[in-house]
Amino acid sequence: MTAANAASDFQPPAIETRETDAGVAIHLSGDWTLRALCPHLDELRARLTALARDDAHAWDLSAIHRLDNTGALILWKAWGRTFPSSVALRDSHRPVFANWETRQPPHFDEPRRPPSERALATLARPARAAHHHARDWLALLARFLRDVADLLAHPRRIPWREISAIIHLTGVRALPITGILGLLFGVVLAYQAAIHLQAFGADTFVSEMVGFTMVREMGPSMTAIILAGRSGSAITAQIGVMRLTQELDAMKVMGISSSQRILLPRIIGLTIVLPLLSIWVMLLSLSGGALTAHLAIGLDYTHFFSTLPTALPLVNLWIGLAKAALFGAAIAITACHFGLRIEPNTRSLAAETTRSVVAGIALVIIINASATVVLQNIGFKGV
Amino acid sequence: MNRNTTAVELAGIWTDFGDRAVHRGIDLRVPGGQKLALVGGSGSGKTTLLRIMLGLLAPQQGTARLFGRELETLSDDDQQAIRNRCGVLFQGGALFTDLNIYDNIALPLRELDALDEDTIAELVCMKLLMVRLDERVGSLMPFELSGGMVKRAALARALALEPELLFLDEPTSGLDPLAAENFVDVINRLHRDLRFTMVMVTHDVHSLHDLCDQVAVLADGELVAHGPIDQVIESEHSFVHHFFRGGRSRPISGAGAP
Repeated sequence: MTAANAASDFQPPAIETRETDAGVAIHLSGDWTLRALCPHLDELRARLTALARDDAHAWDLSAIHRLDNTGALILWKAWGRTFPSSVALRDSHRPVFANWETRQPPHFDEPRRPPSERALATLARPARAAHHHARDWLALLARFLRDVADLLAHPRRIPWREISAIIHLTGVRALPITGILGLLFGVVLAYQAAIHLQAFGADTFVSEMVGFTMVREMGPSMTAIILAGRSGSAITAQIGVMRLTQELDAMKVMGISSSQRILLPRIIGLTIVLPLLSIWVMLLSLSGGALTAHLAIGLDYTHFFSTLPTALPLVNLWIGLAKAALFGAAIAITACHFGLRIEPNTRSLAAETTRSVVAGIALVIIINASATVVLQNIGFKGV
Repeated sequence: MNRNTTAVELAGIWTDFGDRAVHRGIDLRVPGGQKLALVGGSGSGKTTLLRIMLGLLAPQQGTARLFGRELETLSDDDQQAIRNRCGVLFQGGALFTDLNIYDNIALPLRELDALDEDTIAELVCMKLLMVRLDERVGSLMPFELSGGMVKRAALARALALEPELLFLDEPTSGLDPLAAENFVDVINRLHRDLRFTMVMVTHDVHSLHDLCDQVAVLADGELVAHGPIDQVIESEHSFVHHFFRGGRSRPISGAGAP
C-alpha cells in the first residue's frame, strides 16, 4: 500500500499497552479511519480482540487523531458491541460510537419463493416468453398496418421527413460497407463456381451460377443480415433510450402518435431501403464475379453479362426484391418490438439490443427458407 | 479534516468551448472543513469547474490541485488514492442501474479488498441509516426508487469510503421543498458528525443559506464574488443582485408579503 501512503496524509493507527498500578492501560493513537486501517486491518483486529478479552483493561482513545464509522465499528465489534468498563473518549468522537450503540447486526432476508413454484417457473418461462414475444410482435404488425391505412386516408400526415432520414441513415450510409462485402462475395462465389464448373467443362455457366445465387438468394439475404446488425441494433437502442428519457411520453401528450412518427417511418424506411441496397449488392457482386471469371478462366465480360438475361428469367429479380422488402419490414418490426421492451437499466439495454439482432437475423433466414419452398417452381429456365 | 490543509485549489483555470470562454482565469482555494457553494447561471460552467476539480476533465490552462497535489502529474495509483478521499453526489445520482442499492454502496468498499462481507454489511446498513433510508431499501433496484430516495442512496454511496471531501452537484434539484429541506438536514447532520469538506454546485437559494458557509459566484467566466454568504449577498454585481435578491429568491410567505 505504498501508493496509498504516498497520496494520503494519514497517521497509521497504533496500539500501545502500558502496565500501571491500576492494571493494563491500552492507548490508541493515530488515524482510525477506513483508509488508514485497511493496510493492517487483520493484524489490528486480532490484537484488539485479544486485548478486549480482559475487561479489567483501561482503554484510552483520547489520542486518536481521526475516527470514522469504520474505525468505530472495528473497535465496537472487538469489544463485543458494548463499551468496556473503563474507556476514555474524546467528546468529538462520541457521536461516531453513538451510531453503533443503537444498532444490532443487520439481517438480510432474501424473499424466497417455495421451490415447487420456482421449478415450475423455470420450465414455464421460455414458453411464456415466446408466447409474449409472438403476441406483441403481431400486435406491432397490426398497429403498423392500421397506421398505414390511417395515413393513406390522411396523406398530409405521412411523415416524409422521418422516412427520408431513415432511408439516408440506413441506406445511403450503408452503401460503402454493403458494396465492399457484395463485391468480395461475388469474387469468392465466381472463383469457387469457376473451379468446379471447369471440371465439367461447363465454365461458361459461371455467370448463371453467380446470377442466380446473388439475385434470387444471397443478395437479399446477405444485405438483410448486414442491415439487421447495422440498423436493427441502432433502432432498438434508439427507441429504448427514447422510452427511458420519456421522449415517447412527451410525444404522446402532444397528441402525436409515436407509432406513426417513430415506428412507422423506420418500418417503411427499411422496407424501401432493403430492395434498393439489394440491387446495389447484386450489381457489385456480379461485377466482382465477372472480373474473377475473366481473370481465373478467361471468360469474356460481354459473354458473362449477355448470357444473364436468358439464363436468369426476370421473375427472379422480382422474387429477390420482394423478399428484400419483406426482410426489411421484418427487421424493422423486430427492432421496434425489442426497443419498446427496454427497461430503465443498462443491462436491459444490452440484452434487448442483442436479442433484436439475433431475432432479426433468425427471422430473415426463416422467411428466406419458407420462400424457397413456396416458390420452388417459379423462375427457372424451361419452367 | 484538518482545517489548515487545502482541500481544493484552482489557479488560473481557463476553459474555452469553441469560441466562447466559460472560465477566464479562475483562482479558488477551499480550505479543509469548509462548506462552499458554487453558484451561477445556467451555462456559466459550474459543472465543468466541478469536473475539473475532480480531475474528470483536464484544465485547458491553469492547474487544479486536490489535497495539494496536481492529479495530472501523479501515477495512476496515486491518482486513485487521492480520488478515494473524495465522494461525489452526481446530479442524477449515477447509481449503477443493474446493481441493487446494497451492492451500489458495497461496491467501493469491496473494491478496497480489505474488509470482510460482515463488516461491509454493517457499514452499508450504517450508511443507509445515516441518509435515513430503511435497510430494506438495500434490496431494491435504482429504478424502483423515488427521486428523493435516489439522491439519498447516491449520497450513501458517495459516503461509502468516508470521504474527506464531498462534491455535491445540484443536491436539491428535482426534490420537492419538503424533501429538499429534509435532504439538506441529512447533509448538515452528516457534516457535523463526519466533518468533511463540501463543495457543491447549486441553484437553490434557500438551501444555500442552510447548507453553506461560503459562496463563490461564477459569472462572465470569473468569480465575481467569493466569501461568507451574508457578504456575497451585499455585492453590487448585477448577476449577484438578481440571483439573490430577484423575485424568484424571495420566500413565499402568503398574504402581506412585500
